[in-house]
Amino acid sequence: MKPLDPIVDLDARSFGRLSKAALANDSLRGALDHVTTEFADRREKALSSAPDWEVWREQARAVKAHTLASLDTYLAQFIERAESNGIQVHIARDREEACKLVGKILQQAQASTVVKSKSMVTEEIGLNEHLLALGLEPVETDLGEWIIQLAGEKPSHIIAPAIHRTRQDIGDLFHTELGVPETHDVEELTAIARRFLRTRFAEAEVGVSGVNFLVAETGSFLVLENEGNARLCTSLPKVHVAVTGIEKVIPRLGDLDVFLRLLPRSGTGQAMTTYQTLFSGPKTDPDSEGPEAIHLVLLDNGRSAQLSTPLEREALACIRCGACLNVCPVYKQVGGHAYGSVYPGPIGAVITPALAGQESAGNLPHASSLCGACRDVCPVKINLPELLLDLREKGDEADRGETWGFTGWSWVASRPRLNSLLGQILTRTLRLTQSSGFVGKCTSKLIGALVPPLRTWQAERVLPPMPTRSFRQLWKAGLDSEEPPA
Amino acid sequence: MDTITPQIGVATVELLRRAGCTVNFDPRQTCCGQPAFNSGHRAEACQVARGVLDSLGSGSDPIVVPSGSCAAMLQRLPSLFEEGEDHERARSVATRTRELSQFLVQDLEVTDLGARWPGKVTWHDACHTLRELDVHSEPRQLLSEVRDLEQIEAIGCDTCCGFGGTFAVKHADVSVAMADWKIRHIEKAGVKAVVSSDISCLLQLGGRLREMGSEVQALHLAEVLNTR
Amino acid sequence: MSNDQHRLLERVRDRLGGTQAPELPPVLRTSARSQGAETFCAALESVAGQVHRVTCSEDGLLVLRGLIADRGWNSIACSDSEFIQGWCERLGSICRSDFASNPIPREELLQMDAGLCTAQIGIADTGSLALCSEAERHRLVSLVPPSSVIVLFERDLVPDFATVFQRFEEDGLPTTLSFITGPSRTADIELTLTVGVHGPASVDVILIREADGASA
Repeated sequence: MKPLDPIVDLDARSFGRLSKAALANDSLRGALDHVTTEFADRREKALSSAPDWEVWREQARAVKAHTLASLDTYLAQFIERAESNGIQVHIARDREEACKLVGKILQQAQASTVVKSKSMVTEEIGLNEHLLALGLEPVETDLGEWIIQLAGEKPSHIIAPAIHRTRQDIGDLFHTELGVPETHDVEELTAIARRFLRTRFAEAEVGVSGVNFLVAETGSFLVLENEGNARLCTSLPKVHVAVTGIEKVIPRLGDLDVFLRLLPRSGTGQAMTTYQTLFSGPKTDPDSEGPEAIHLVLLDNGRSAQLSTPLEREALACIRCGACLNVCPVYKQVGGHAYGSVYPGPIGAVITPALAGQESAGNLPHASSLCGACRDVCPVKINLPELLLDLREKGDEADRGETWGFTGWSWVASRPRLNSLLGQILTRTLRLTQSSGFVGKCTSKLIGALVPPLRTWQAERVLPPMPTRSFRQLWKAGLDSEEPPA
Repeated sequence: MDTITPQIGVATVELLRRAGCTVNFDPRQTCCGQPAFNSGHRAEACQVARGVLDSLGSGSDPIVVPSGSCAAMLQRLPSLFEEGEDHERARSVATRTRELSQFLVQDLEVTDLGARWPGKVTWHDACHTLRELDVHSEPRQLLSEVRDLEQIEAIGCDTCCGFGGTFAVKHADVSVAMADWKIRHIEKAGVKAVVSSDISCLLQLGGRLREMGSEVQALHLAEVLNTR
Repeated sequence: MSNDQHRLLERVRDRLGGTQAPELPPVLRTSARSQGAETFCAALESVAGQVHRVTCSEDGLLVLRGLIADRGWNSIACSDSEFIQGWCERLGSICRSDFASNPIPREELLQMDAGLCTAQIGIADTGSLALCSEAERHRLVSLVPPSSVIVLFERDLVPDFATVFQRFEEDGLPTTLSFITGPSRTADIELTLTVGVHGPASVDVILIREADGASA
């Protein structure tokens, strides 16, 4: 098995570099256009038969807002009840601790093969890498996760990890990595996955899963899926290890209902996913079915840092549906890998700085045009654009050039007459650049050097012909006193 | 708008007069401060926006803005100036601010301005106009009353054009890719022009259309409505 | 509570800084339209499940015999429910039952053609089935074989998930509560829907109107 890339390929410049590469990849662009359109269409269709959608959204938002503002109470309740159910609850402060904990549990279970169902948190902590280093064999069983595991890649989407790959890519990958005859038929490819993974479920000593919701009232946790691999991972092996973030807790069993109405529709346009399993403990009778032990690892990794204000807490309400990715016009062009984080798109831009640190991820909030489409579709009404603005303000991503630029601009723009004068100079100069010939070319180069943003703009966009007089001048020259036209 | 696209201002003034309004313009205003605010430079944004408080902060006349993103920023001013007199003036500005099509259709209840513009056009829903001001049907109603004009809904009409303020320059290649995606659909719609109420969108889309040598124009709503 | 747990709670409390939490709204009581069999059938069929409606258990068994013949099944993994055992006795050697005292070995289960069990609850709104771990030994037989046959009684239909959760809030949860809504599926490749991945590729529900004596 190929060793995996680092979890986050992230630094202050990475979005620029990675998005450039993405834009040059025609196959990726085609896949993205198709997939984001499909996802968005399916969601629309699902909503058309959900007249109470806004009622559900508001309910979910309110439940999360309350829970996150009293997270200590609900976590305490959850832990107490889960443990009395026989679930062993472990706390991990950060990625390293989480990996070590899981590694220890696996070693104690004398595991050599581990089957995994889809878990974004295990991607976040780089669990597979850690397990490989311990000499264990982690086997991804979700089709999309298995594909990227074979390819040695990170997921490019929260719901559909391999969506950046076409069937041709996947067929070629299977042929190269598995030695199967070449096929690009989707059904045949899926059948290959089933064949290869079927026996692994039965061999594995431990199954690792993610968690969609922790229920405080009953000390239970819920896992949703469509493929059946999560059920297999958590039913066949002797030990079940679930890894999740502390923010996943909801207060009451009854609250699961509204989230089950929102998540499948938002994520994949389904009224309901195929399987939901609610775990409230390991078997009490040793002869019964299911694992002997259930371990639950609760991960912080920067989440508690987002509890300080109501706005920041909103980001923790995310139920990982991926809808914001599907409508994001930036994501549509560059895909998930451009963000350099396992959490891409709008939600990724908001939470990655808290998880990976301001230094490496501080530029992500700027990788957005702030169009607000994400806020419209978020099932828990996270005000993503507001969070992005907040992060831009709090961050120190601006290079000196930009800071000076804005300082200078604000100085000028608070002086109306000076502002007009400079505006005039600018338009006259630009008018010169718009003339052909030597003078035009010279002024172009000059102004480009003096005002770099202008040069960048004009590299690919043509400004309209510059006017001879400004609006202000026209107003003074008679526009102010014209009679209403007939 | 003042320096680069004054014709939009002129068209707006003429249009409002035709609708029976008396129009005033205070030359002390410069900018709403949005470019700085969106990039996280709150102090600089406030410094500039104070000019709006000075020039427009008193009085009771509606403030008509031919740009959705500016109108949305003006509505945000109370949260930038949270105390004292500034806050009062900011609130006054915010409550009186109306985007042009909002003002015409909702306030004046006018949709027919006697315009004539032959040809097919498609409307571009600028992000702030659509999502922060909730303006969707008003421009379409106005365009539907323009004689000889045929409106086509293009795929992606409500998808961001890619301007996004400093984003257009910071991530120019992505910004251009976003514009090009829209333009592909605009051209497929077979229109003569894409029309919007946001000047930055028009510079962005128009900028690419001109670069590509396209026949499709990028026009402001006021310009179309002011054509006879 | 362990030290680590205490530390986590302290850290969380600290970050929250004594903030006043907004009110928790009451659980939303949704207005599901019906709990009828028709709603259930339409919902399950819309996700590629199949429903066979019969009036009595005897007819249900006939349906099952029909499925066995049509699909060419040679081996059926059966749950330990009394009702299912009643059918198994009549079906003979094609059935292999999974008992706690005598479970079906893994290797054998992996090769069997179909699984047969009952569901404790049916959810009309979505065409879902709820399987309770303590009620019956059906977790693996409903999951491993590529075809799944599940018996449901109409009297066990409820309108929606909200009703189910309300019931368990009052009665207490089983250790594992499994919901199944149709056959397994994926769209991980180009978002093209494929039915039948790791879980069963076909789900046939035999929906019985009357419970004639035998309990589920």
